[in-house]
Amino acid sequence: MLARRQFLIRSSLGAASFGLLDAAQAQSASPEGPLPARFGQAPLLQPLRGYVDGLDRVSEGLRVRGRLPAGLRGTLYRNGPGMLERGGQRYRHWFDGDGLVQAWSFGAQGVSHQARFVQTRKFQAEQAAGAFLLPAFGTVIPPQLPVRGPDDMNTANTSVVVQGGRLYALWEGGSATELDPATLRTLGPRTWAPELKGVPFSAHPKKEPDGTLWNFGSFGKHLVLYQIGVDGELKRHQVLNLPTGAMLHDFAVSQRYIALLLPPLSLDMAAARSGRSMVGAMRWDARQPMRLVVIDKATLQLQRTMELPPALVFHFGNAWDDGDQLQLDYVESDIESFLDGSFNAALGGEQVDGQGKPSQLRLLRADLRSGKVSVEGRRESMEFPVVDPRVVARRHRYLYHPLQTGPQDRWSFNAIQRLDLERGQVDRYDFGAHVAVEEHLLVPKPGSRREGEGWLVGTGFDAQRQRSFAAVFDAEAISAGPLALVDLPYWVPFGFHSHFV
Amino acid sequence: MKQVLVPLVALLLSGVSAAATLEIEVEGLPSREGQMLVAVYDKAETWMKKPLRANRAVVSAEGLVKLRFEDLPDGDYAYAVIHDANNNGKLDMNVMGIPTEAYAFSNKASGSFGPPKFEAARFSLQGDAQQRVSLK
Repeated sequence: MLARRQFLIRSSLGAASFGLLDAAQAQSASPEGPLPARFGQAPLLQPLRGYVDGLDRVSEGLRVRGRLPAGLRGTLYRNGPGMLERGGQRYRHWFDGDGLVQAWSFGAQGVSHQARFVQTRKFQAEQAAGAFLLPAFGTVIPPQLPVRGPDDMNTANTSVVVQGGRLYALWEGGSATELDPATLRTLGPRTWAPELKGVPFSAHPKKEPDGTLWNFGSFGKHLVLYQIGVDGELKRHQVLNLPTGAMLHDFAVSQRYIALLLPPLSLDMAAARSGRSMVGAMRWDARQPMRLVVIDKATLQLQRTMELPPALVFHFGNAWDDGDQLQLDYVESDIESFLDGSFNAALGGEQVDGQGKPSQLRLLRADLRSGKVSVEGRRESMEFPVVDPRVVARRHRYLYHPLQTGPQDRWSFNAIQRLDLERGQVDRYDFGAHVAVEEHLLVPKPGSRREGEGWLVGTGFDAQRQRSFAAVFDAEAISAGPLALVDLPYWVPFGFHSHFV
Repeated sequence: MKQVLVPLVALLLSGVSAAATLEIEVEGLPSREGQMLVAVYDKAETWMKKPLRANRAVVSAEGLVKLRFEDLPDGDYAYAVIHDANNNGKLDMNVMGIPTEAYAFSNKASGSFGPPKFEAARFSLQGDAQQRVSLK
């Protein structure tokens, strides 16, 4: 009886007050330290575990249900956080995980798959040590290796792009990391010019139909703009001062302009230096507006700034202009759930209710003469909007994106749709409540000219089978269901963005 | 007795040396190009501003560098080493002000997005010493 009462007293007061912690637990007791490595049983969340062993996976001769279109040839590359747990510790934030790049190769012989970790300095050191050694975006870990610049923390985990025949894994805090396009072997950080070595290169470059690649890098109040040619070499770059410092994830490019949305979200450097994580040091000022910054593509100089009500923005769909009017679409996210951590509640593998307000599409029109801005919204809970690559920075009619059609409390999307902006209609397919749907890309049909003529190709996870798959749709008949499903013999961790070449 | 004491005292006092040699070996260079620059400081007030002594050495074919400082009085010091890969005599930076060449500090000290404090890089020199620094 006495022993039971002692146990109950201890568990209610917590181990901390008994001074029984060892060093690792002390670190976990910090409000932003790593979490203990417990993972729940929720079937739909298992891929959030990541690959704890840090090993690559390869498979060939994948089983296909349905029929793959004969004209679909090329590779779907994807990137996402594949390593989230080491040495009994888990990251707090989904964005912390080290990059795992996938290549789904569609060839005459069928489909093969590779998933390989980007061998950054951080990944190699931590894999050898079997422990986290460096701070992450949302988790405080005292550095065991020198941190001399952003690339020392580079996880290369957010997106992929191919330019000039070279494949890059992208992470907005630092350099692009080059990989071999066939084997995914890591070749090293890419330096575009000597004075740009180690400068951030965002995970959302925009490729125009002529092959020019535009990108930006943001640090504090400064912005660097990159213009990269078809040959993969830097043609121009420009360093600009922004009206305020802001966390910038994505941007938009139209015929004449580069457009940025600056949310009133900035980094408190004093907090960052005194031991808060990057997320913990972010400050949201609801009294400030969101700023639309428009830059002239010809001169790479700031053209004008307009104000909107404050919102958290991650992703853009597309933008176009006619000289006077600029139109762009973006996704507005919930700032509360991002900052307070409920966004990451699913990272422990337990089904949690209430993911915050849904992220929704916004359609913005800016009159560049009068400075007036108007915004329309849609109500679907969605993310990862894409357009036909032939209309990037041109007037677009269609947006493609995953969405949630069922209860709002699940963590992932269950459906995919094409939104016709001209008619306000949608063409939608629901995979079912047991499936988590990821970003799907529009792959133009070779020889076609019509916007939207092609295939919609993307990945998902089937919680009943506990396997990941790739889906291929006729992009003009999505509600008819996938033409083909390609099954993997295992699951791959959930990811962010893709690129098809 | 006094004739014995004076030489004995002189012998004891001669252990307080005024001329130590510090030898620094730098390893883990990212390339074999260029030269190593090293600057030694003796107080926090001048740390990273006005070195007490500076030296440079070409990187050897094996990718190692040895630098010597002679006649240093015993006391506290800290130093910074820079791999000047393009031989322009300074630590190059990118447009963010972040160094693009490798560097390191004594006492395995490292800062966060900047140099460590003098106190973190400080070590005590008591007679001749050989130290190793890694740029990795």
